[in-house]
Amino acid sequence: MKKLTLIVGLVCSGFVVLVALVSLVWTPFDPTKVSTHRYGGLSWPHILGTDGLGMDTASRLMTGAQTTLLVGILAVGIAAVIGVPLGIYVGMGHKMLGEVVARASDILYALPALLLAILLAAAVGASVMTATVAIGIATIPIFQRMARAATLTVMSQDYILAAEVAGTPRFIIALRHILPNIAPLLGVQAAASFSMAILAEAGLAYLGLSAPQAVPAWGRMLRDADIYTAPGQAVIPGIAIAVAVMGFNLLGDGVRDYLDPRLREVR
Amino acid sequence: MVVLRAAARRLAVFLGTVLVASLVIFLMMQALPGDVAQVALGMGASPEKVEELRQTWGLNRPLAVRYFEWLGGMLHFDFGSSLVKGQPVVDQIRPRLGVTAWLVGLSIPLSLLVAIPMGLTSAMLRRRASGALINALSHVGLALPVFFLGAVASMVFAVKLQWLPANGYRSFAQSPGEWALRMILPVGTLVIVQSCFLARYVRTGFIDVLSEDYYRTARASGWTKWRGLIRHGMRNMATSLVTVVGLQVSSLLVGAVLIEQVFVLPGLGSLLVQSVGSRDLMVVQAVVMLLVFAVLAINFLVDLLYLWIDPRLRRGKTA
Repeated sequence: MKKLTLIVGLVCSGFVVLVALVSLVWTPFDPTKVSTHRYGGLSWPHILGTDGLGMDTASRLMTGAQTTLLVGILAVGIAAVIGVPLGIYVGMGHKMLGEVVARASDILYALPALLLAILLAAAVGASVMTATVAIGIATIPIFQRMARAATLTVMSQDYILAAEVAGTPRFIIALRHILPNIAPLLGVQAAASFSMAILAEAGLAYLGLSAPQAVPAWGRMLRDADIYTAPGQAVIPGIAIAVAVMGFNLLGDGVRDYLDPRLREVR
Repeated sequence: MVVLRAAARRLAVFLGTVLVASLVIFLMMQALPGDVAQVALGMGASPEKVEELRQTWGLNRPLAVRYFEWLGGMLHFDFGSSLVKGQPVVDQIRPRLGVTAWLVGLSIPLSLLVAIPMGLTSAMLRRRASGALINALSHVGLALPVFFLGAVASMVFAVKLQWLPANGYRSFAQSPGEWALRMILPVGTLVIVQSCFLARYVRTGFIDVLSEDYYRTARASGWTKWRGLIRHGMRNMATSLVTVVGLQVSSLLVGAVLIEQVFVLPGLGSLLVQSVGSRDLMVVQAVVMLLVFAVLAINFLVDLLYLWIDPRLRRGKTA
């Protein structure tokens, strides 16, 4: 049963990655090529039909997987690169700074990714990059809090005391003793945040605050689809988003259960 | 006394956070590349015209002066004037406040009403196929983008079956019946997504209770599973659930923005998206501030509620 979570997660997320990789070298059509064949149904050679500009949906769906993965990787990367060191640093004992960081985290936490992205889009214009950066920034507090909490647990271990007594520099302690011990936890969080980022970007694209129409992105495809005349054009990217989000969610859950048997019953 | 002091501490943190958030929002809007007045008048406008407008809007005064003026204005509901339409921002916000408030206000209690039985059942039956099915369903619901679900719902119930209107809004005062019909799909969509999220927390909470000593004692003294879980489980779950609901408010507001777009509802979210489109910065700034304030205020209330539910926190110390 629990293995099932991991397997389904691996299959779904693996499929998305595979499609993205294939689209790098091959798609049935040029995903940005406009044609007069508008709102074509599901038929050969356009197996998933065409959209309102006559662009091939299957090709756009495949290339869209790249956009989705890129958004996830960049957003989680930004959040982790800033949040984790900050969390470890604060967790290793800096009371004053700790309070400041905690408050800053609270404020950022109250500012949902969407609002941040709207502010950024209003400031520098809407693009996949602004959306991704906004989502990444909004995710920093999650990594900061988790890294801090995990570091606090690790800090009470005897091997940290031993390292300190031996005169190991704090930076080396952080790198060699703390980071490897909290890495599994952060990895699981990364998977969860990855799917959150995908979902957030899709929402922004739907509002017209991320990808422009030319860029193949799933949320944007949903926005441009006319659900009354060609419902299929909305359903296909919608399902793609759901598969990717569920895949990475289940992957995170599955890996967590696999790593820590005590957590298996929880959630 | 201790309770009062703990509450006062939370109030101070809340007010401080609001202040810093307002500063952050203000500064972000100031950091814009390009001149607001130039944008408003269009690229063809003469430098004299732009300068004149800058004077009228007071854009030439120091940053700090403008910040405190904005902040002070908000204290008596003066959010400044729209840069595009010229009318006060508050006049644009007021008619839309109700729509978003209804969406969020109805979704929170309704999704709890769905999530608690859902989580309880899936915790109780977790070793059976039916419980696993509920859990799987909540995973699927969690992955569905709220705007996609809304679009599909509108496709099925409005276009195909023609049971409900596809979009638009009537105010409650205008016609309660029409209002209710038009709220079913948007609120229903939000409730499905929200309850799938909350049900997972409810499930975890109840599974935790199952391994507690007090639950075993209740079972040993002859209580049924369900009675033990409901009488003892509920209260213990309430604290964590209240926290989650508080945190969920921000995601619900985001969901409301998307849902307003799907169902063409004239709420705060659609105002925000429109204003970004027309680069009406005063409106964007005001609405974002209002939404952030709502999130912070609800989190503050949740903190107070927490203090009330869990007596252990009243001893102070904990932040």
